[in-house]
Amino acid sequence: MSCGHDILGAGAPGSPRKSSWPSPQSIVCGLDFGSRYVKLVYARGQGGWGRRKMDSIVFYRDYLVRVKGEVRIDWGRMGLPPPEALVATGYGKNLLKAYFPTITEIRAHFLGARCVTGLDHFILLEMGGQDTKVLYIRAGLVFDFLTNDRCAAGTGRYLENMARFLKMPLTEFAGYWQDPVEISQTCAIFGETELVGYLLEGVEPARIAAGVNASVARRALAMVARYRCPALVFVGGVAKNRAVVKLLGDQGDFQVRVPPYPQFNGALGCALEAGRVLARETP
Amino acid sequence: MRRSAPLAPGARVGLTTTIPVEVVLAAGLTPVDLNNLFIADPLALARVSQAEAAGFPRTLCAWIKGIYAVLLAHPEIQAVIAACQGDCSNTQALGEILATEGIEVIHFKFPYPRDREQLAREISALANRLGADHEAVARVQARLTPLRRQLRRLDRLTWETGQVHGQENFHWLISSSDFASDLTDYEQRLTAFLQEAEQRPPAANGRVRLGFAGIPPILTDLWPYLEELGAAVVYHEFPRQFSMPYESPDLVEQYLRYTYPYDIGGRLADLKEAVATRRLDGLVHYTQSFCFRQMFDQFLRDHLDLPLLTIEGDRPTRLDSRTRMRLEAFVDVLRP
Repeated sequence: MSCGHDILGAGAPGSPRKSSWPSPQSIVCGLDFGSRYVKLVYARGQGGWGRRKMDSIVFYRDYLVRVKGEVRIDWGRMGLPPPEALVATGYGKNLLKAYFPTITEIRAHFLGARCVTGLDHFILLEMGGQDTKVLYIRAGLVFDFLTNDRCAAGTGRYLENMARFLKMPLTEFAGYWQDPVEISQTCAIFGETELVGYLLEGVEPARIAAGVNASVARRALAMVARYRCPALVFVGGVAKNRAVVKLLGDQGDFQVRVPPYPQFNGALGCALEAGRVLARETP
Repeated sequence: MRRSAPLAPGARVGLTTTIPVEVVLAAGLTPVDLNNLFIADPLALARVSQAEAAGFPRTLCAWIKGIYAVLLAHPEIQAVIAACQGDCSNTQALGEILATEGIEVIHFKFPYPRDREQLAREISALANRLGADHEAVARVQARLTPLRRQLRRLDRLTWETGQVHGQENFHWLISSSDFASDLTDYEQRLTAFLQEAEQRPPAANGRVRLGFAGIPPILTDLWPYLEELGAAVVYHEFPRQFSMPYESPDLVEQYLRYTYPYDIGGRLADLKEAVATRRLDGLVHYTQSFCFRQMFDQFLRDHLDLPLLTIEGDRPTRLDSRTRMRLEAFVDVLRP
């Protein structure tokens, strides 16, 4: 499957969105079964890619069916034609591995990001629902990677909880970076206690949101700093948080690039792998 | 606290880490590596909780807690040789607590920085305390020479031909600190094992070759899982060190070249040699929660030019799903 390189600007206003990823050559599908959402990237019959995001619990409950002890995806109910090849990744991939090829999340994100950026040397930061991964790509190969420690602070779920706590829509929350309060607790639970303290002191919620965003960027920077590289590609749901993107760019000594649809990067990597699987099976 | 009474012949003496075991054997005593006693205990996990119930903090290395609690279950061990220098300060505090509970604690200090004369004095002091004369120590050292050669042979069969599997390598090397408390039996079993292993066909090529850096992992199912992933563990940094990999007729020299109790520079040289000689594809740095050696993680990343995965263990449990995911991804990216 071909992979366009000059596509980073494709998500910019005015450019046609469907051209942002390389065109699929066959009816393939990539599925990233994450802790918060299931992301699907699929080739559309009429050409181009389609994307779909579903709550993981809803997907598990409504779209996975068990037929004679086998787990199947209910494509009809989803309104999609069954793909010729599907590759899965994510925390939930073990549920599907007896029926579909699976790849690790590291490989899925590497394949997706390398394809959309065309870079050979970069740091890939993926911040998802419950963990953070940093990959160091050198000479077009994954040379090394890190994942966060066991604590969920600094991940997507943490940001969601904090926004909910402040009764603020996540998109609004993600826009605050100015004049942040200091969030010292690295723990997701005690972090909330700290927020209460600020609210009771009469601090504006925008500053508190900025403080949370800054703490998330700080944790990511500590991981990213292990590698020296001028390019940072940022994917995963948290890459949609404008404040975290800005803070990373301001504080890191690298250029931050967020590809279009960053949350679907792993699913795209799976779809690309599905194309390879199909090519191997049908010479 | 009792002091300096002679220990009964054959008495079991606990070791908190690898110390010159030749001296213990020359004194006619039975060495018991307390780490191995703890981890081999079917109740290992419960032992950690037991130590916490006795007041040991949650935020303390589980090996220390395990040693403490397993000693309570083994009242026959009335004396412990504690490495109060060259290991962690937690061991030092553990020694003090054990002493207040009536166990005789014999201190052994690996000099820091590495120093030949000081080490020679420490070994002499230990021999004096245990009642081992110089000739007896030399005899034991000579007695162990062929056995230590066999361990080196076993290690070579791990990385050269793959006839010895990673878990077997770990098992034999880790238990060489006290020879499983029965030297003759250990030697017989090792000889039989090597005879059997040498008949095995060499392992197929194409497996991902991993090394383990750091202290022995507390996790129980690492090796079968790595094998399932198609990886071969062909190097265990500290277990190999416990087996005294450099042959020397001089006991002081042997324990001077031993890297565990000294500076990170010595460890780095050993690791670099292993990476090159054993053709490692990647290194797994095992770190123990709350251990000072976690601080060296970035140092190893900065000084070793190969992919390095850091994993962390706390209690003696099976691998958690996150660590499994990370190991799977690591082996996957290293696969040729």
